[in-house]
Formats: sequence, structure tokens, C-alpha cells
Amino acid sequence: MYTKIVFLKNIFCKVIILPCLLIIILFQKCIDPVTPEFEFSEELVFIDGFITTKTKGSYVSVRESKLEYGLYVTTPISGCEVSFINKNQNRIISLYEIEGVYLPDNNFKINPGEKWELNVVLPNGENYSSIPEIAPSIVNVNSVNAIFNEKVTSVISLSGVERDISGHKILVDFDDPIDEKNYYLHRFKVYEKTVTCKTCTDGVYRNGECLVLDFPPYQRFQRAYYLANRDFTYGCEVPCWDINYNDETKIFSDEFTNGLNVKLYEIGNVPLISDNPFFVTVQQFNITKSAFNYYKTLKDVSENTSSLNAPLPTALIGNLFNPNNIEEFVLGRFTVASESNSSLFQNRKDLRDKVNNNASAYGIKKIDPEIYGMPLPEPLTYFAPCEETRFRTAIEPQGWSNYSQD
Amino acid sequence: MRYYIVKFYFLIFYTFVFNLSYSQENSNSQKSFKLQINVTNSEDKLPLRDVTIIIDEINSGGITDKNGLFSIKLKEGIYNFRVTFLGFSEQRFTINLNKDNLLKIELNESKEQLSEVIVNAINLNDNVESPQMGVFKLSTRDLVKIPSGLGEFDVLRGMTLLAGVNNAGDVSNGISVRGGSLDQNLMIYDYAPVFNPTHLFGLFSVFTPDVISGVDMYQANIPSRYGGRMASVLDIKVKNPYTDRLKLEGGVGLVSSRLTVTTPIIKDKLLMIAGGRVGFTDFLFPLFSKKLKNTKANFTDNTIKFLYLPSEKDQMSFTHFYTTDFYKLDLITNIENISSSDNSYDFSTFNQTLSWIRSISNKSFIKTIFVNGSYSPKTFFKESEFDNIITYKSKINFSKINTEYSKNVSDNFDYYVGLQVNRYKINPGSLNPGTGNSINPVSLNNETSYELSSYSNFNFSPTEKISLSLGIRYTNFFLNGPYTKNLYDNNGLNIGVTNYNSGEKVQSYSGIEPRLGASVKLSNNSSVKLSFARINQYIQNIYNTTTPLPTSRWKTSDPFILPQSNNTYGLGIFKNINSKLELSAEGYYRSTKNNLTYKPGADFFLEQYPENDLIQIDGKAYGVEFSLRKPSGRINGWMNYTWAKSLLKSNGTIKSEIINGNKWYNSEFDRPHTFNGTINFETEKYNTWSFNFTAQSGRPYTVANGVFDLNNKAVPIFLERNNSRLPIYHRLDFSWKVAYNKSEYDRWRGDWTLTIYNLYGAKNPLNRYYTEKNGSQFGNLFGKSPLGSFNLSVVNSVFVSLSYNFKFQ
Repeated sequence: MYTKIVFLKNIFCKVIILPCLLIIILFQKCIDPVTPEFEFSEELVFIDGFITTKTKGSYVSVRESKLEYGLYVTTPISGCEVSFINKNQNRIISLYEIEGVYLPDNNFKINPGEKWELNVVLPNGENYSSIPEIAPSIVNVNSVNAIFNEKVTSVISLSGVERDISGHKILVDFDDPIDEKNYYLHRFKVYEKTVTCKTCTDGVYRNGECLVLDFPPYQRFQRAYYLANRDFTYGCEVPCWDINYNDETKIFSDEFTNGLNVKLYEIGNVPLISDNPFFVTVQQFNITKSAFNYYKTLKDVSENTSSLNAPLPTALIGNLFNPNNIEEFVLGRFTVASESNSSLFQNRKDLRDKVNNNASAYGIKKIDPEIYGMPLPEPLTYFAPCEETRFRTAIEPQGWSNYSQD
Repeated sequence: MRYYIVKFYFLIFYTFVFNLSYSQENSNSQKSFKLQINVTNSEDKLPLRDVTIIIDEINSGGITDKNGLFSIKLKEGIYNFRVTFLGFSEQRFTINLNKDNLLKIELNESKEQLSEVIVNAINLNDNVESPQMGVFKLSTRDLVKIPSGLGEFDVLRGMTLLAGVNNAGDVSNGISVRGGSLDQNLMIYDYAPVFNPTHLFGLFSVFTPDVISGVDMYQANIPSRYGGRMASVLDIKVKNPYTDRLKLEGGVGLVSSRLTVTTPIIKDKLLMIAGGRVGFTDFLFPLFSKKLKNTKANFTDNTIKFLYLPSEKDQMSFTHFYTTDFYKLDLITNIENISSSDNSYDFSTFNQTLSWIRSISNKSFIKTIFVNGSYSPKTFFKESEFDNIITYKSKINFSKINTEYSKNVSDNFDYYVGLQVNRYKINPGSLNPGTGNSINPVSLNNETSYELSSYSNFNFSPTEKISLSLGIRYTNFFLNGPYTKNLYDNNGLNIGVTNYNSGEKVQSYSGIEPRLGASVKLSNNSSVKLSFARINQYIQNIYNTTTPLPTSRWKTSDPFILPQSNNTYGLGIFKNINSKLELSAEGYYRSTKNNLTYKPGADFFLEQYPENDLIQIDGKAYGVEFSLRKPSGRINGWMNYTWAKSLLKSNGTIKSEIINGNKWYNSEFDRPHTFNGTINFETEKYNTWSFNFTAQSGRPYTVANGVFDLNNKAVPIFLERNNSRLPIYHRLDFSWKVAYNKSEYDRWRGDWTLTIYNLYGAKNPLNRYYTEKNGSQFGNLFGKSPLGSFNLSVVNSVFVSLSYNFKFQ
């Protein structure tokens, strides 16, 4: 019966309603997932270098593409000699390698007006340099604002239904200098205190990992009764913060705003999936026009792809070259940026009633601890450690305690 | 310049001398009588053009001109004539010719025999005899039979069923002809150019359907009276309202409704046709989906034409054409650097044509045309977090003066000569910040340019078997100030500017454009044709998107952007079998220079110096078009197959100007294989069923050569362009027309047309793109790929439309 209804519904939708509303369909478009197609080239080298006026913000990543067992992978290239060269002072800053990324000392930072270049020597002796760039002036962020909006993004649920997600737009105010052309890159980190440090699907947390439960035959009924479709969640042993980043490349040029006070410029959003407060730190980079064009291309090929007027794919040409082979196409870029930071603490207690709707759209499950009496291995466990990763930390964000009333 | 003017007048002088000597030569031949036949429609008394007249005794004949006239000189004797025209009953008559004579013939429409063929040769043997290659002529009668997705005929959609003509996807703002880009086609509507030919982002054409009298399309040796676009000319003509009574015509549909009035204002002196179409059904959108509450899509187009006949020798007309579109939708990416919550688009075309045709004799005419038009796209940005609208607008102002003298010297020789001056004034864009203070006002400098052309064309048949068309066009292009010209050093760095005052010449280009055609008859029903054409193009649409938006920028040539030019060669074999089947095979090769393409990261929005984002590259296109037509009979139709290539090649020396290693690569419009087929069943008096099938190679698109993580974002890396191809495009359409009049003499006539577009619901992707993978969603398809991928399709379902069309006369 159900099949018949679905069939009739399809007929109704496809043959009766849709045809009569061609324009409506046109403007809703249709996307269908397909197996991605590639023409992979092996041994492509990609260098991503970034140098800023703030400490701990500079890095260089050197990766190469490979086909391993028929799969395309990119791997960090270890053993490179990587250095920043100050062209004003002929000063060379050597970088050290940690987990495939090359970093300068923690105290290293540059100053506006300085001219810098990158030099990378691969283990095979290939040498890559960048065209030198001058660090622009620092443009300070006047303020960071968070404005709640009933729709900041949308997600397609597993059932295929698109659902609007409410949350806070993150916006910044800054004064664009009138005497120069400015190009901006914005990044932000959002810290949200989390109460769940581990989730185990089809198992329980024991000895630092999720343990798949193997019940003897006579306990299968109990398993079915207690554990069916249950994901156990575990609280945090210590205060713990989830870290999220803006997933969109946010670039802005003062082409139409030169010398103005730029107000409420949106740089991203924080979906409302928890009523805990969040703390956002914003990085505003003033970059060169060449760097802006590079990030614009990057945005076009990775984000602006799904619209009817999507820019056509194009090569991501940076400012790197091989001094011994000018013809070689070197991927990536070395970007010299001047950085200013600002932050905001935002309470969300008053939005508690809107959280559940969003959380369910994201597939976030409610806290479901182990309960005494369940057929689970002893000892029952309620907490897990807060693992230090790019997306989670137990180190309190600088400035959090100024606002938090916890 | 003076040299060329002298040269032009020499050409005219030569033409007259040639004409004179030719006439004298004829007068010395054996005496004969002149017979003129004037053919009109018995129903509305309008002259019928292209009616075939066959004289049995000499196994020859000809066709009527636009005034319904056919004339011939014959020796004294008795002749049997056959007058045939598709959709009309054949008439036969016999005449004893012993003096000059004028016969008036009225043909009766024969609905039950009306062919549903869309494309017909202009007469039964014209496809064989004419030296013109790559030409299609569609009359109103043909156009109304083109099945459309929305129940009313559509010029551009109909064109895409012809050999060599492709759409650039289900939604595209124009057509691609023989692998050319969309802006390489000149579309003129009663002599006025139309820069944006589609409504609703390409859904259908802007041309008011009920007022169109016919469409001529040229894609090989384009006649020399046309110029300025390299790939084709689409000459759309508005009906001349010859009528002695009020006529109403129109239709009611779900998407749009239309009405046309044809009426005399002063009997036989001043006549008018006024037609309009509106589409305002977007207010219904929210009823079907809450997500569409902010979606807007409405449009209008209207055409008014006055025809004034002050004397028997003069005919003056004024045509006004106005079209508007407004839409707001989520499918278009916002503009960088303007912080807006939503964008809406508004664009309009406003053209006027004044035409005066003076008949000097029965065989010679002077035609003078004045055109003034504009195209005005606008974009409205709703400023984020503020109650303010920022407005972007640009404008093309176009003016044209064209005068042409034409003469039919004899049945074997005719010619025309003319002068044409075009003026383009382009405002590339301005930004109005509205009431807000977050944006500075911007206004780019206007670009003013002139295109001066002189042309002539001679058609003659030196022998019975050979017909020649020899044309030449000379163009001069000037870009005038005010203008600010950037100066660059050898490394492309800006080192200063040069300013030009108003009216000061900034840059000029010129070129001679030969247009040659030859037809050699192999037999009465078969011929071989050759053609050559060269065309320079001085205006282009610049964009770097999948398809140009109506707001995409138009740019004339300047010191940095050189004119595009091409050489097109054609060779064809044509054969008619028993006047029932028409077979042809046409091959072509076109080499082009200075095709425009974009550099990485190009952004043309309000860019004062777009030359920094553009490169000009070589191109070539070649192919063979096979065509089979059965124009008459209860089952009729046609099919064509085209094998073609369209390639581009850069010649850059720096990385941003080297595309695919400076090797030939597929252009966006490369379609190696295209098949179109149409079959019509006319089983009885009231019903007509039609099927259209089209299949073509998918559009080239670009697949990534690598993927790298950049700040935890997977970024596709492209080292090449157009290195893969979308799946084959295919579609089947069906239409059923029911005419239900009780009597063919009813003044009110109506018909219902049911159209099923995309009968089997093919999902033809317009584009394929990468996205970041969203967890394990679509895990089976995406597998271990570093990125996800989606097909974007627009027409992906069966579309049924029903419309009621009426005519009152």
C-alpha cells in the first residue's frame, strides 16, 4: 500500500504539479550526487605559507600528491629546509618541522612594511622561492558583533529534507584606511563549552576507547531491550571547549568602501546547537592584492561552484616558482599578512527552546549515559578526557574568564 | 578613410556600369513578353512570399518576392503554370502569352495538408539552386509549429533543432552556432540588435511571438549587408500589418498570456500591429513552497509596429520593441565586496526602428533604416543588516543608420550596395549606494565607439548551371574619448595612464570582409556549393561563468582588446529526390582570432580595466552537417546529424596566460556529435502530433587534477580546462494540437496545444561541480574521494503545458 502511495505521489509530483510550474522547478534546481571524477597528477607539490604580524600565526605546509594503492592521497613532505627571508634586513629565519608543518619560533612575528620571501628546499634538492611581498598596514577591528537570525544556514537531513538552521551571524566593524587600497581576509575561531567528550556507537567507553559489546547468545534479548539504537555519551573529566572555524573563505576588498567605516560586515555564523555561551576570536588580515586574487580564485573553485553563474574552474596560481625552472607550475602561495584580533563572548541562555530543533537537524543526540542495571562491563563509566585536537581543547581560551559566570 | 569612401563610390559606379551593359546585352536578344504573377492569400489578401511557380514547358520557374511578385520574360506561346506553396492548395492555369501580362492569383489555405515541418527550403528547389549556404528561413507558418515547453512557439528553442545550432544547456542566454560563443551571433529584431534575447534566464526568447513574420538565419557566407558578429546572423522580422479589418490573436497559458491586435488606422494608408506578452504568475510561488516566498520571476515584452503607405512607391514603418524582466532567486552567487542579504535583477530592452523603402522601379529599391535602442541591466543588492538597497546598473545605447540600394537587373542578376553607421555608447557600470553610507558611489567611464561599413553584394548566374554570390564589406571601427588608457611595462605592470578628451580618437581598426558563394548544378535536382566569409567583431560579452548572466558586461574593442575575426570556408552537396526528399551534406572550417577568455581569478564586475583579466586566443571549428528532410505528406519531418569540433588555443608566455600548455583544447561549445529528429503525424483534419528528439555530446567541463587541504578545506586543483565532458544530452518532446473549428470560415478560431517537454524526464546536467564531503553522506557514491560531486540540472522532469490560442479576424 505504501509503495502504491509513493508511486502515486511521484506521478502526481512529476507529471501533474511540476510540469504546470516549470518556473518554480527551474528556480529550485536539482542536484544529484555523482561519483567524483578526477584526472589526478602525481607528485604535485603544494606549498602553503603564511606569515603574520602576530606570534604563533606563521606557518608553512609542504605537501605532495601520490597514488597509494589506487587511492589519491596528499602527504606532508618531511625533511625540507624552510626559511623566511626578510628582504629589508637580509635576515633568514629558519623554520622547524612539527607533524609535517614548518613553524618559526613561538615569538616570531613580522612588522608592517617589511618585505618577506619564502624559500623551500625539498629533500630531493628542488628549490622553490616566492616573489617577495610587503606586509600591509594593520587595520584594527573596532568591534565584533553577534546577531541572532532565524536562518544562518541550512542542512539536508538524512531523509533528504532541507532544514533551516538558526544561529548567530558574526559581524565585524572596522575603519578602512582612505589612503591605500586594502584587501582583507577574515578567519575566526569559536569556542563552545561542551558537556560531551565522547560518544560510542554500538559500544561503551572503556580504557580510552569505544569497546564493541559482544554479548553471549543468552543475553541477546537484554541487549536488544537496553541497547538497541543507543549511543552512549560521556561527560568531560575537565572543563572542555569545542573549537570551530569559519568554513567559508571570507575575503573583502575596499573597492567600493575605500575610506569608510565598514559596519556589520558578516564573516560567518555560529549555528545554535547548544545553549552554552560561545566565545569567538576574529582574525582580520590585511593582505596584498595578489593574495586577494589568489583567495578569490580559491573561493571560486571550492565554494562558488553550485550556482547557475558559477565561475568556471581555473588554475590556482600563486607567487611561487622554481628558480632553476621558471616554466614549472608550482602550486600554493606564500602570503604576507598584517593581523588584528578581536573577540566576543555571547550568552545564549535565552535561546534554549530553539536548540533542540537545530540539534536534531544536525543529528546530534541527547546525553545518554550508562545506567546502573544495564548489561554492561564494570565499572560503569560516565566521563571521558578532553582530547587536545584542532577542534577541542581543555585549555581555557584567553579572555573566556573575563565574561564567563561559570 | 577618404581613400575608402572613394573606393566605395567606385564600386557603386562599377555596379551601375555593369548593370547597364548587362541590360543592353539582354535587349539585343530575341524578343519576348513579360509575365508578372502576383500571389496573395485568399483569406487575408496578404502577399505571399516564396511561393513556387513552375512552368512545365520549360521545366523551370522561380519564387515570389516579399511583395508576392514573380516576373519572367518568355517567348510567345502557351504555357502551363503550377503555383505551389506549403500549406496552400496548388493552383494550375494555362496562359497564351502574346503580350506583357499581369496575373493575380489567390491561394487558398489548405489546413488538412499543412505541413508540420519546421524548416522548409524557401522553395522546392531553392536549397539546390541558391549560392547561399548555411541558411535557414522560417516563416510564421513554420514557427508556430515548433513545440515549446510552455505551449507557445519560441524562436531560439526552434533554432536549436537545426543542424549546427546548439543550446548551451537547458538554461542559456542564447545559442551557439557551429561551435561559436553566444555573443558571436547577431540577433536583430526588425533591424535593431537585441543584446539579451531571453526571458527568465534563458527559459524562452524575448521576441513577442504573435508579431513575428519570419526568421532568417545565416551561418556560412553571411550576406554582406550583415556584419559585426562572427558565427551567425538571426534576422527576425516583424509582420507588416497589411490588413483591412481588425484582427485579434492571442493565447492564455499558465506561465504567460499574450494578445496581438492588427488593425487599419487609416484604410490602406496607416496600419498597426501591437502585440504583448506578460508573465506575472510568480505570486503563486509561495502557495507551493515556503522557500519560494522571496522568489520573483516576471516579465513582459511588447512590440508595436506602424506601417504608413504614403504613395504606391513608398512604404514607411516604425517599430517599437520593449521587454523587461525582473527576478530574484537563490541560484545566483552574490557579488564579492558588497555585503548583501539578497540580490534581484532587472533588465530591459528598448528599441525603435524607423524604416523607409522607396521603390524606384519595379525592380529597384532604396531602403533607409534608423535604429535607436538600449539595453539596461540592473542589479539590486539588499544590504545586510540595513534597510537599504544598493543599485548597480549598466547600459548599452545603440544607434544605426543604414541605407541600401538594391536592384533586380534580370532573372540572372541582382545586386545591392549600402552604407551603415553604428554607434555604441556603453556605460560599463555604476553603483548607487542608496540611502546607506557603507558603499562609495562608483561610475565607470562611458565607452563610445563607431562602426562604419560599406557593402555590396552581386548575385548572378553566368551559366545555367552556375550561380554566384559575390559580396564584400568594408568596416572601420573607432573608439573615441573620453577614455583613460592604462600604460603597462613589459612585465604587465601599470606605469601610468593617458587621458583622451571627448571625441578624440583612441583606437581604430578596419578590415575587408569578402563574402563569396557559388552553386554548381550537377543536375536539375542536385548541386555542389562553395562558400567563404570573413567577419570582424568589435563588441563582445565578457564573463567567466558557466553561462552569461543578463547582467554580464559588454565591451567594445579598445587598445588592448583586439577585434575578433574569422575566416569561414564551406563546401556542400545538395540533392532533392522527387521533390519529396531533400538531402544535404555541408562541411565547414572556421578559423578565429582574438577569442576572449578569462584569466584565473577574473572579476569583471565594475572593473575599469578589464584587459587585466582577459586574454585573447586562437580558435578553430570544423564539422560536417548531414540533413534529410521530408517537407510534405501526412507523415513529414526531418533529421540531421552533425559531427563537429570547436577548439581554442592560447599563445601565452606567462603562467596566467597559458591554458592547457598552449595546446588546442575543447571550447565550452564543442559538441562532437549532435542528432536532431522531428516527425509529424497529420492523421486527420483537426489533430497534429509531433515528436522532437535531440541528442548531443555533453558540454566539456573541467575535472580536477589534484586535491589539497588548505586550512582543513579540501580544495580542488585544476591544471587544465575542459579536460572531460558531461554525459550525453538527450530529450524527447511531444506536442498535440487540436484545432476544433466547426467551419473554416469561422471568424473566431481557437486551438488547444498540449506540449510534453522532456517526455521521459531525462536529467541532463547543466554543470557538474565539486563540494566538500559532508560526513558519510552519499558514501557509496563518493567513496574515498577527497571531495563530493554533484550534477546541477535545471530541466529534470516531464513538463506538461496546455495553452489555448485564439485568432479573431
